[in-house]
Amino acid sequence: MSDDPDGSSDDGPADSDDGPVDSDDDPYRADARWPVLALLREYGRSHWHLAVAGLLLRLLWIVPGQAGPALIGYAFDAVFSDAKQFRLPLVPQAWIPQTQLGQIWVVAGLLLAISVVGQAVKWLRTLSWGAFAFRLQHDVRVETYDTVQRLEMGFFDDHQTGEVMSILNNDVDAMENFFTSTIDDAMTIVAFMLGISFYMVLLNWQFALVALSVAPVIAVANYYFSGKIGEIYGAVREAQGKLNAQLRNSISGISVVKAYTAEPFERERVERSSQTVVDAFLDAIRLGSYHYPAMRALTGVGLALTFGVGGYWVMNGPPGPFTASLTAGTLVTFLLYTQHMGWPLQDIAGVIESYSSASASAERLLGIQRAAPTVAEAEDATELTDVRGRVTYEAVTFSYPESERADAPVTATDAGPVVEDVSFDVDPGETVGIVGPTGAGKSTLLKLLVRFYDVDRGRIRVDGHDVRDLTVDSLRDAVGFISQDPFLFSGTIRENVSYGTAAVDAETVWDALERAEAASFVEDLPDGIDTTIGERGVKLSGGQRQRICLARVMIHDPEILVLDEATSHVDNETEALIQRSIESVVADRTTLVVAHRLSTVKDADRIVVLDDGRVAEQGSHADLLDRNGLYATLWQVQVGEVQSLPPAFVDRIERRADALDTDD
Amino acid sequence: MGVSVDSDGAGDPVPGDGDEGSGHPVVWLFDEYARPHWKQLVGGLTFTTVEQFPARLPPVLIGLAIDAVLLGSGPFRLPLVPRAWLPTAMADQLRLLLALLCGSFAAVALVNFFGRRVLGRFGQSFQHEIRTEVFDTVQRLELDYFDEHDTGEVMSILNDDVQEVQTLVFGVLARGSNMTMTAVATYAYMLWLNWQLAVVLAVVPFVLFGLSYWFSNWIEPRHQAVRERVGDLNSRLNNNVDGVSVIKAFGTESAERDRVRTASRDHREAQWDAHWAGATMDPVSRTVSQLGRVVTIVVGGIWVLTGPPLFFTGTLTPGALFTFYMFVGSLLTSMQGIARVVDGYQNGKAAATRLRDIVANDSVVERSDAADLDDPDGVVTYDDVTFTYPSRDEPTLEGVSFDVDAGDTVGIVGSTGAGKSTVLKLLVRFYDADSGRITVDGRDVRDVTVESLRDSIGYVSQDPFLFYGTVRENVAYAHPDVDDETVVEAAKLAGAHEFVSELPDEYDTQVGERGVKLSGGQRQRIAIARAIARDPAILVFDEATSHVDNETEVLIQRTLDELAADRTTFMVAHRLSTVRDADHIFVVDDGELVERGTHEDLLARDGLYANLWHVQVGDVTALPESFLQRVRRGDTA
Repeated sequence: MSDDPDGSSDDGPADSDDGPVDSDDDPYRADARWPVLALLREYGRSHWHLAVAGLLLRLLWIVPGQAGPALIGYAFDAVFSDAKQFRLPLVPQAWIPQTQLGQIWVVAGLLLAISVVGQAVKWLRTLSWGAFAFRLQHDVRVETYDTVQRLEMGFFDDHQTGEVMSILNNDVDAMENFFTSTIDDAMTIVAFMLGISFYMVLLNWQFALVALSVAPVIAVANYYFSGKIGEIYGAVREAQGKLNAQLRNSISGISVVKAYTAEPFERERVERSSQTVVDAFLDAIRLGSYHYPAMRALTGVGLALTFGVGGYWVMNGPPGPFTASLTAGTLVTFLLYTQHMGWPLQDIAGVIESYSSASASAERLLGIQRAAPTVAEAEDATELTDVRGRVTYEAVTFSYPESERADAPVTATDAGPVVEDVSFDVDPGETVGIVGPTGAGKSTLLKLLVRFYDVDRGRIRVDGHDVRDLTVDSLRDAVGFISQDPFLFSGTIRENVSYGTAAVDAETVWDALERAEAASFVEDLPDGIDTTIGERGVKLSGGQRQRICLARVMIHDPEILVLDEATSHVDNETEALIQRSIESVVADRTTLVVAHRLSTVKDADRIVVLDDGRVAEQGSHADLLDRNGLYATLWQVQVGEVQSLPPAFVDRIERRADALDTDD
Repeated sequence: MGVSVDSDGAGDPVPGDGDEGSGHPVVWLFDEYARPHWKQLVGGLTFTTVEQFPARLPPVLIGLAIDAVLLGSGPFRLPLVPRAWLPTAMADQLRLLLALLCGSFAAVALVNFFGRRVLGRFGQSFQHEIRTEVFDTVQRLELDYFDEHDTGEVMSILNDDVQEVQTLVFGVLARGSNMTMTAVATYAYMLWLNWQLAVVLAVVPFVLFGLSYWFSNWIEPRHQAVRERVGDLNSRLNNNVDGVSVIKAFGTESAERDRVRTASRDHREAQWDAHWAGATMDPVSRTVSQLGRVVTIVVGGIWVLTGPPLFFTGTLTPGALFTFYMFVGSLLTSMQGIARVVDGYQNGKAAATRLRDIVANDSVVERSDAADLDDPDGVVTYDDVTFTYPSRDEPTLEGVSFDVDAGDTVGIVGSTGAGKSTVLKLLVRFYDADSGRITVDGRDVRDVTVESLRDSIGYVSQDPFLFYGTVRENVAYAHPDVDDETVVEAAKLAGAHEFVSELPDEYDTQVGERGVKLSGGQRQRIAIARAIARDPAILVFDEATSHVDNETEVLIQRTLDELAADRTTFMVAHRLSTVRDADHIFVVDDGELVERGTHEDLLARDGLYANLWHVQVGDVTALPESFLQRVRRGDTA
């Protein structure tokens, strides 16, 4: 008899989604006993009045909300069967119509009034809770983002964008959902059960015992089923994950699939993975096919019990140990209440699940808040002003911090520090190239200069100041950093070029583009410097993006320029262009260039050759070639004289290449 | 067998409302893929609909109990059962009703049980069929499709859209028929009890239906706005996290926080708008429902007490009124699910359209009389080959001609976007030339089977793609006839054996996405082993060392020399140092073959190759302005 109000159980098996990061691998989790509450305390305080209002409205309506069936039952007794006299609490008898018809109108009117007022109360409550939840979500999101962006680079090296996004996105949404849906559902259940219990006990507490006896059974049965279903869905999610990975793998490598005529092979693989998913789902379906009918049957038992015992009670008086009498109208009321009982009870399991999911999310959000940045600014840090650009490395030694990820690649940390006892200096205006085999530690030196990490031993000085004594802002302001991955924000070219600099007019932008050898292609774009680039805009090639980054740095006009493999992902010709464009820029500016392609640093004032984290040679291109050492050998590789390489060098490369992935 | 034999090559239909050509997309979907399982579908739906008759019985039984037993206000009767069979004593009647009540619940539970299993099984089989078949069709599409659509898009269709099928089956079909049968069963009983009242009350659900529908449309734009703002917000967050090093380098943290705050605020406003609309919509429909029930009570109440009002005739008992009251309530509640059914239908239709569109694309055509290319020597000729990518306006290759003897090593170089890789993609028939011909051992590549052609060419690209599997599986990829010995041999030749032997499980180590992380150079060497495992006569290295550092390239170079010895080898390279020692070097510029010769010849000629060489060795100042101008303008990579 009871309905499936929204048919939610008829949706077929639920599907898994890319939920938040599995909490077991998470280093960033707070240790709070009640994480949701802790989160509420931190962010909910400014909006507490909305939450309280919602709560009060709910409390207010617990009893009146369930008055309907009681009224109808009463009508049956008082109007249709004269078993009782028609009265209403708090209303003097004189005002109540004596005709049956009049009484019907009163009942109808009351029902409608209760409904209308109830809906109004619910409307207010929904708005109140909604406002609370949305504001909470907003605050949590913005604050968490702000915290995350200020974490130091170590965090970002350890966590992929996807993971971070999962926290900023999925976890924040989970919190919002918890407050708008889950809590609401939970309170609905509680309010409903309290409300109907109130009336049932009031009317006939003995019969109430009979009618409510099934409720705990339903609740427990639900809980049991949910546990089982949870397990099965774990298996489903896993199978789906594998299938997904399989599909993605095949599509990403489609040209290989075609080149090896592997289509039938791939089809078979997909078919097998898909079958595994199907089998996992069928398990879930089988379980579900017991769950739902069992719930229906239990609800039916409750109803039959109420009907059977109640019917007997009305006809023949109280059975067994019971003493109070039961009227037909009261029985009607009880039947109406029991009809609705099944569904809220089924929601309990959903609420519990939702709570544990929200709890996990809250933990992660809190954890991030407490993740301390690893590079701290000294309390008495000085501002760096009037930069002349002298850079000194003094016996610098550094190892990357242990990665907290379980699946991190075996890095060079296991083999010793990435840079060891490195010393050299750069005079103001000099251009120094830093080269060396892969894994020698070149890029790391640059990251240490701008304090993406701090040295373990030794120090780095700018204009004589230790970089750790300077304010981070002024230090980074004085250094222009161009990396091998030219990152541009979604926006117009103009916005990107002027990024980080106060108001810049169009002419200045064009000027910078010109000097970066980028003006030609920007002119050809549909809207010139107002063209949108990035994800939803025009797609630029690597070389084009790099030149825009160059323009950006030119506007910024830092005293020290750092180029970290800036042309390694760019084709030869574009590199030539870039080389020429920065010639003038580099002329009187202190520049550090890390390059893999030796052709890049050929014309530097000095070249520092790193090997295995240490300085092996220093000098100009010509000097180093003469010396016939490591640099000379690397140059041979550059020009393709592969056959005449010294065997010792070749051996070394082999050994190094056979070790697992190393980070430079 | 990696192609479809299809001759009309119909063009790619414009993705859109899916109403072109073959009719309704959802109908197409079921027609195409549900056929093998139609019995399950029919069975499942039958169970689900039949369920509603016993499910709607209890209110009737209770009403009867009220009339006949409790109040004595009406005769005892049951639908379809002749009066003579019914007991007359009240206690017996009560017992009968109780038995029927329990019976109806048991029936519902039983039918539901079977219905879920059968329909559930259908849903899975249907989805499995779609997933496998669509995947198979997609993977055989021409490479051009994959050039135009990135992995994310394709995955969205293969994954999300295929999932939507479940919603179609359950959320739309099953629930829709459920709702319909609920209404039918309810009305059947109501008509039996008191046809006049039933007819009048028939109006209410329609009113509510209309109201629901109208509300859905009213609120939909607001949901759309929320979706858009979420998209914007996420884009911004994603962008910022990706570019955090730039944010730090420029010290713009505060500005970025403000930007995020603004985007979040926009989202919040849209959310509030939708929330408010939803919060208002709900009470209005519920009040209308309640109004319906109140009207029932008033009209019914008057009828019971004083006789038929208005135009009604006959009697109405309190029990019947009770039943009507409950029915109206449950009917209205059921109607409120309409919005979700409509929603599910819209989404399902969109998904079906995308599925239909994607399988309608072209795949490479193989001639029905194509013969196998057996054990070729590896003589390759290109005869006036011209080719334009389907998605572009200008030809990428124009009039390219050359001859290569068996066993020669050929380097192909040129500026970015000049067409170097394209030359070789035509050899493997990733695309077909527009005019001219390409022959292997004198036979046109279009005359031989694609499988045999690709079997005789070992193709290594710049992205050493390894599949999720063991090292062995990757080297022997898709070819069961490659035995373990051959795998090891190939690995040795490719210079991979040493490091593979040091892996935790050696050749049985899992590599790929969830496996051991190998360096770029290591992956490339496995890819090379894969290419030579089947002992091909022709080797193609398409920028195979461009993403590998100088030193690793050295290693690969040395092994390449060995591998290339007896095979016709093509090397497309960006780094000129790679092809320095080739037998021939072809210089491609703007789609044409402009220079050819050995490294020394070309240097002496002082043309394009010489310029490129200057760049390679860093003699940047020696470059002519004309060369630079072209580079400035012509980025196509």
